[in-house]
Amino acid sequence: MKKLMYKIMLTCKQATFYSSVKSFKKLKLVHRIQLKLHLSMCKSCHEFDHQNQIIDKSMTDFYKGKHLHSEETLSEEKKSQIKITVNQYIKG
Amino acid sequence: MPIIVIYKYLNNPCKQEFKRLRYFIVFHSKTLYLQIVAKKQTFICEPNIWVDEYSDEFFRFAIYRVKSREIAEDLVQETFLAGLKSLAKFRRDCPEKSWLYNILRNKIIDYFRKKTNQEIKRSSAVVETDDDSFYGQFFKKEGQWNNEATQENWDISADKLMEREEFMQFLILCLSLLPEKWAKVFSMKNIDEYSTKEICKELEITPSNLWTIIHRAKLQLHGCLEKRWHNK
Repeated sequence: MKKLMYKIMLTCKQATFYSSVKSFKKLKLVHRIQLKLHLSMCKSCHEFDHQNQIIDKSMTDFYKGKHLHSEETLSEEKKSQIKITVNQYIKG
Repeated sequence: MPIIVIYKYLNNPCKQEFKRLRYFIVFHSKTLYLQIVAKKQTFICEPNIWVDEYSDEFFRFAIYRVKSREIAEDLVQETFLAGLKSLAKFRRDCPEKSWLYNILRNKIIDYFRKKTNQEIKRSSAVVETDDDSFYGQFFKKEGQWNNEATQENWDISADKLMEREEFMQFLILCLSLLPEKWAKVFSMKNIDEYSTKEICKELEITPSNLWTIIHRAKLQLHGCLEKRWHNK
């Protein structure tokens, strides 16, 4: 019985592995169930999984360039200065 | 009669642009070949209009991340200059804007990398150590957490924009502390929408290597965010 338990239950290390890899590939059904089971019992890993989702989402936002609500614009001064530099580079 | 499908696609940095595909049906020695070829599109590229068209958007993108007007301005300028310098390398298979965005993104990560290097001189930067010593930071030998209390509730939700902005800053900082190869996996997945097979091919690693890298990178990000953002 004890041996069987060890086979079914994931350790925290394995659980975090499946939790991190989950956004990259679809897990096998067995692993999904094992992970769910582990997460329902282990508070730290549950938290880890939750944080993983936050990180993934924020990372996608960063790479895709979302959340650009602000109205900040480049100052005219700096803009013309950049223009001059760029034009100089094109000519020379 | 066997049917063989051949996919051909251009190795393109922005694959989401592929919408038009051409199909060829070829008969050859009793076999039907169906060739799917991505239609090559060329995009125009006019450096003259860059500043007028994109500078404000790029500036907003940069200032949201680096939180300083001067540095954001400099980064935008550097992006345009770097773009001009590598204009010959630009294959024009994606719009110039997404190409320039890629440059800007790399500049931002470089900036953080430089900044953190100056601050801590790589003391807490991650090096690619062997398995035991790496996992030893987080787990006991039996596979349980070292310290049960490390995983606390972060309690941030998507609507708290102020907190998210701050969180984002720390996330980029922690990303810049990862080894370059690890960070590249995430950028390839998120920007270029590479499949895992393509990532492995590009980085010349096996799939199981990739999973280990992701696992380690995630653990490292958690540890770093915990230390710098949550417990500041």
